[in-house]
Amino acid sequence: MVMDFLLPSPPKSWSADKTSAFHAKITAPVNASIQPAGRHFLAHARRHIHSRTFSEDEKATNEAEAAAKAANGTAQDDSDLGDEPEDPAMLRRDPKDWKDQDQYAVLGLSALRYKATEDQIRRAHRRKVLRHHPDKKAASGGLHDDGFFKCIQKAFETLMDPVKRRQWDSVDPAVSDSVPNAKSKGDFYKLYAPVFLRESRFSNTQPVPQLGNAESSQEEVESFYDFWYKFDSWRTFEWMDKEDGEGHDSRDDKRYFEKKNKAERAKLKKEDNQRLREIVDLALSIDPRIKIFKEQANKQRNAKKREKEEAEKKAAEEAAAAAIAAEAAAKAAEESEKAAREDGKKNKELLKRAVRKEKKNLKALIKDNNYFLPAGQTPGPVEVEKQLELLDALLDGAKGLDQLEAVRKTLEDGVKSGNIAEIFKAEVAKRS
Amino acid sequence: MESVVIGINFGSTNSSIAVLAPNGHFNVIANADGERMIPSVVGFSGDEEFSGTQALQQAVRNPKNTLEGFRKLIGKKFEEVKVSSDVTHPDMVSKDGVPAYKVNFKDQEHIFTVPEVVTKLLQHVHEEAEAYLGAKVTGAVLAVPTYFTEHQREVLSQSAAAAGINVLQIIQEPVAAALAYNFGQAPVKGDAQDKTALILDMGASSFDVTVLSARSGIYTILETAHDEALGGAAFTEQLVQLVAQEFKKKTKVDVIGNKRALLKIATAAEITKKQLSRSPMAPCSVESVAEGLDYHGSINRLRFELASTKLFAKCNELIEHILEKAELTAGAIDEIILVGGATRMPKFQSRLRDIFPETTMRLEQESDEAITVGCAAQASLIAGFDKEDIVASTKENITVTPHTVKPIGVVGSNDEFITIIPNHTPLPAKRVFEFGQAAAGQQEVYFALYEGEQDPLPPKKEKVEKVDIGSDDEEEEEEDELPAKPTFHKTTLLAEVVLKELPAGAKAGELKIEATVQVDVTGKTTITLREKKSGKQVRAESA
Ligand SMILES: Nc1ncnc2c1ncn2[C@@H]1O[C@H](COP(=O)(O)OP(=O)(O)OP(=O)(O)O)[C@@H](O)[C@H]1O
Ligand SMILES: [Mg+2]
Repeated sequence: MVMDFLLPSPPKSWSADKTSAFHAKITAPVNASIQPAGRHFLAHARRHIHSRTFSEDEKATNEAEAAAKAANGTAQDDSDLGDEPEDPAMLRRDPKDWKDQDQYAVLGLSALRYKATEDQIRRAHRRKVLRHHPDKKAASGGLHDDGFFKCIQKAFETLMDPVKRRQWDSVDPAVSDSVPNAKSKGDFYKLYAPVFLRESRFSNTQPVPQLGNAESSQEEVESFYDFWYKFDSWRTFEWMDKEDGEGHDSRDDKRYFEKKNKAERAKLKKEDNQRLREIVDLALSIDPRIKIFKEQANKQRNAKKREKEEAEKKAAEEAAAAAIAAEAAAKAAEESEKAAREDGKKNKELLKRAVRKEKKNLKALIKDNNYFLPAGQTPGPVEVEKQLELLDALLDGAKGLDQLEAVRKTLEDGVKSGNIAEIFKAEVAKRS
Repeated sequence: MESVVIGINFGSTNSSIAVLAPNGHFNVIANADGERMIPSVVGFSGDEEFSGTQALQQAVRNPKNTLEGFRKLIGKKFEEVKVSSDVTHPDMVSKDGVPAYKVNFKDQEHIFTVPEVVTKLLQHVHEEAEAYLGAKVTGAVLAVPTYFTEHQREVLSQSAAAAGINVLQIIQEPVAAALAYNFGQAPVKGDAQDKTALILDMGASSFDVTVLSARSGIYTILETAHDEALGGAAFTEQLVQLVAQEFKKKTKVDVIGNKRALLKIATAAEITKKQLSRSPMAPCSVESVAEGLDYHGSINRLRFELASTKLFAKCNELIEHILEKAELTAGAIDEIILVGGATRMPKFQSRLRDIFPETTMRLEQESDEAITVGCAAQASLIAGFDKEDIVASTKENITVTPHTVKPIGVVGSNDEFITIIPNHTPLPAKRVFEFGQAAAGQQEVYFALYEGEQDPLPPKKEKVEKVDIGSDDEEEEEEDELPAKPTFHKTTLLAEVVLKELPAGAKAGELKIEATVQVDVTGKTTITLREKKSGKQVRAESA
């Protein structure tokens, strides 16, 4: 549950050392009956019986679930099997032709096929039996037809016997074993990864290295192709054996069939090895990583050569550049000197003007302050003269704009604090 | 042989069976004739004994030896039965104080007690289930109305056991219906669902109304009431009256008091009534009603609804009464679950809209199958349990729990009270929810927990008695005011907690603070605040 408002800071009055405060109890709970049904009630009962807290119970049930799963995958849940519709034609199949039936489809495992685990096959079988048991069909008024039921049993037998299952998986027509088209366009990894994944099932060595992606290292890619060129396959072709049908039960006939089958199996096996090799060849020939690795190797070879060339070239270039730079620097120095000279002229002019202005300011300051006479008294020429003399002395002592500014600031401060006369005197004494 | 567990709804009129199908759904199973409803009827004819459809088929011909309506007599004493209108059979006798039926069977008088008859029916149900499934039924869950006493449940359990049924559990009918709809059961881990349902169950013989709360998936019945004058049979009776009047008009023959004639009409009217739920007009034909005269007519829905106006009004009254008793407004009901065949009547549903203009009505399940499905769901849930454990879990020390009286919650931005743990929540309870921190860079957050109270209800408008002309489109729609969802305000500050030293530099609302509030059986409250990224947390527990 997510609340649609945000938590504020504690109120101002909250004392810093406190983390919680409890003020009241909830209104006293009253007893009532809860209904003993549903899984949440069961959880409640479990907590009560074992006096567990919520989190203890959660932990315990999670553990129990995990343990149960580990012990046997026979949880009641069959959702992993899907719910595939039954083809009516399949339901009418003659169980005599069980060898030609799709063993997985009969059990409703078309989606899983060679990936189906033993447990899944068991559960799928049980499900089909429930649906197709002849007793049940008869009871519900259906025909007493156990044809499909027999098909189910045959499929189950086949898939539960590891040897027979391998024989069937080897020739399962619903799983492609084609060699990809060399010309087909598209993403190499998307095209070939599923092919190698599907072929992996035939490997005697497991796990089987997979195609990987553009990020795979050279080492990984190389060991991948290495593995697949040495692929050790269990694929077998017994399922295609011609039956030594009726009438051929003499020993000679039998031997004849056996020999023929054996030869045929060997031939198919050879073809299959050939087929796999073609796939690997094809993949190798268009694997973009291989191209990149080749280019990289090429580059490396060329790199040294180029490096040397480049170093030489660089040295020459650097020498030339240095010469040019030196020339430019000399020119720049000359120019900047000239500029500085001109600047100097200009600056002096400005400085003079500023000094003049500053002196004027100071004069005005003294005048504005009534030549340090008390207010109301008109200064006579003597007073004016005296003060201006003192100012001249001060100005003589205060050299440069900086000092003049400093003097003005001090005097201005004096104006503010009302003791300008004393400050002026002190300044004069200090500077002259 | 494979073995399965099933759910059985043993209704007073119909029974049915459901089972968990491979696809994860619960299917109500059909008998050999493709019927999903098994009439709760037992009959005797000559040397033969029937149950279900076959027994019903010979009911009119052989009423003396046809037993129905016996479910409500389960566990009752003969004296209790005699005074009430429960006597459905002319020859009821007492056998050691237990009500029993006197019937003619194999040319002899036989006496079967109510529990014995129940056993016969359940045996039949059990056999049908095994025949259909082709499997051994290893256990069953049954449901009973809320007003069944402990003794009645015990007697039912024994009768079922005598029929060879391993009774895993007997649950309440409205609870089964709620389970069938997975009501309030779906929460993902930690995300509690607190909801309230109104369960309306109109079978043939009774109208049962129940208010059920789900708190974190645990059900509590808040209020329940029923009225036996408001079952589907009462509505059929309206039709019977109409037909009898018309028959008299046409033939001048009065059938009042003529039991056999009325029974015949009732059988036809029952079918007509169901058809009227689907079409605005339905035929009604009875051969040889009385004095060799047939009745052939048709009845339109309007007429039926007009004749039943009072009944419909009473249904709504009962609902309003129970809401009042539960101190709930119509707006406080989250879902209405319709159960029982008779709730299919369109007028019943449209009248409900007078009280609940917009409330969700659950009727995806066939209404007379919801209970069965719920029983099957419960059965598959407890199938793997030891019998002792099931029994132990239903004992009072577990089922009687303290419940909160008032809602506990927080106060939102515009001072509104937001419930975290509602009232009627069984304890111990735990709720987890999430906040953000309010201001950018805020490093301390403050959480306050309050108890609240419902705001007073708006004064009830005086209802003007509407003249019901029996049709939706002719009705002057009044300005329908939507029933308001109840609102709350804070009353008492319970606790304050502050989480400090949160990671610095977070944007407003960026830090996610998970608050966990737990209340144990004594009312002791524990609050935990935790910042989800840094794991920084504070835990505070009331005294
Ligand atoms: N389509 C319909 N329209 C109207 N009423 C119907 C319809 N279908 C069934 N009913 C009525 O529903 C009633 C039977 O319902 P249900 O099977 O739920 O009863 P029950 O559970 O056996 O009985 P009770 O609940 O009284 O013990 C009968 O009165 C029947 O006429
Ligand atoms: Mg009912």
